Amino acid sequence: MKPELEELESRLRAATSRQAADLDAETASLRDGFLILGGRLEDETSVRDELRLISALRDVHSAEAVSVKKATDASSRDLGPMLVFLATLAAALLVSASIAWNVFYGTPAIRNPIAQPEPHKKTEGTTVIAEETSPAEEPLLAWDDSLEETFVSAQWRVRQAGSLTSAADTEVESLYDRIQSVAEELDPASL
Amino acid sequence: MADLQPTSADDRLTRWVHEHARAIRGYLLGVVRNASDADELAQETFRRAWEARDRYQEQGQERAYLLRIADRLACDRLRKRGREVQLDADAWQAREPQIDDEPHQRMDRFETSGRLNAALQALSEMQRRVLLLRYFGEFEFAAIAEATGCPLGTVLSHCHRGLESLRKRLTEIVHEA
Repeated sequence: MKPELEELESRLRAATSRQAADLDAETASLRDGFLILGGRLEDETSVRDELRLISALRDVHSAEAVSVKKATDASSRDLGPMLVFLATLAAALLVSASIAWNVFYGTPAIRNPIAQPEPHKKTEGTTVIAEETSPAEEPLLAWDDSLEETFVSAQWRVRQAGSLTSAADTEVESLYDRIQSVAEELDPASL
Repeated sequence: MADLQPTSADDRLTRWVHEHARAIRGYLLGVVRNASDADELAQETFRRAWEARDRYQEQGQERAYLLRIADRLACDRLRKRGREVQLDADAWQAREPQIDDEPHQRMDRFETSGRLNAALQALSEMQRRVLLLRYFGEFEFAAIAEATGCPLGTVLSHCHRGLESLRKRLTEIVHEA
């Protein structure tokens, strides 16, 4: 900073200081006008003005507090329909996923509910190799069966297939016995 | 400066107003020269300061903090007006007369107010801002330069010219005082 600028700043600082100090006549006369102007402006605000200001600020403060509370209430109310919508959407997705699972991984009967398995026909000279399934024993599957029910149904069908195999084995053994007995009857040596 | 952590929010707001309202309103009255505008801007100053109180970190500089807000608001208001508004006598006399004021005291006050109005009117906006920031905030000239966005030399020049103008116009009041 230039020396003359520093000197001017120092002089003006003294002329605008609110603390009394030893000043030369020139600076003191400058300071008088400054103090009178500031003092009169300060005096223009009375205690009544202060109270009015405090009251107005409190009103604004409480109004803001109320508006914030209202905004909070309104935002919580706005969340209600959104939650209902989300719950509905989640339920719809769950049902869709369940249907898709049944369509792609379910039993043939379910994949093609129209095509029914042909009932086993009795033939002459043969025994029935498997009992017809009774409707009460076979688990019924519907479009809205759960995944667990689908698994139960699949297990039941596997067991049924196992029982069919064992019945066929028994029949083959009895045929074999009968052939053996016929062969023995026809054996010339035995004659 | 008083402690910045009073017992309650209301206490703090009340303390702020008690300690600084006269200075803030006085500053605004001097710059915008209209009592109702000064009231409105003072309220806005405290409201903004109150809203930003959590971000306010400069402990012990409350007055300066409030004055900076008031200064920005006053400048915005003057810019919106686009012209200097004459301070009317009614606005200047917004202060309620004291009950124990004698008629001659009221007359003196009225005459003094007229002279002050004339003295203020003779100052430019920058001169008023510089002098009143110095008076009410006891800002250093460098801080005034920062607040007003002017170089330090310009601030000193405005201050000097303003003081000369006041001396010329307030000589009679000074002598009466």
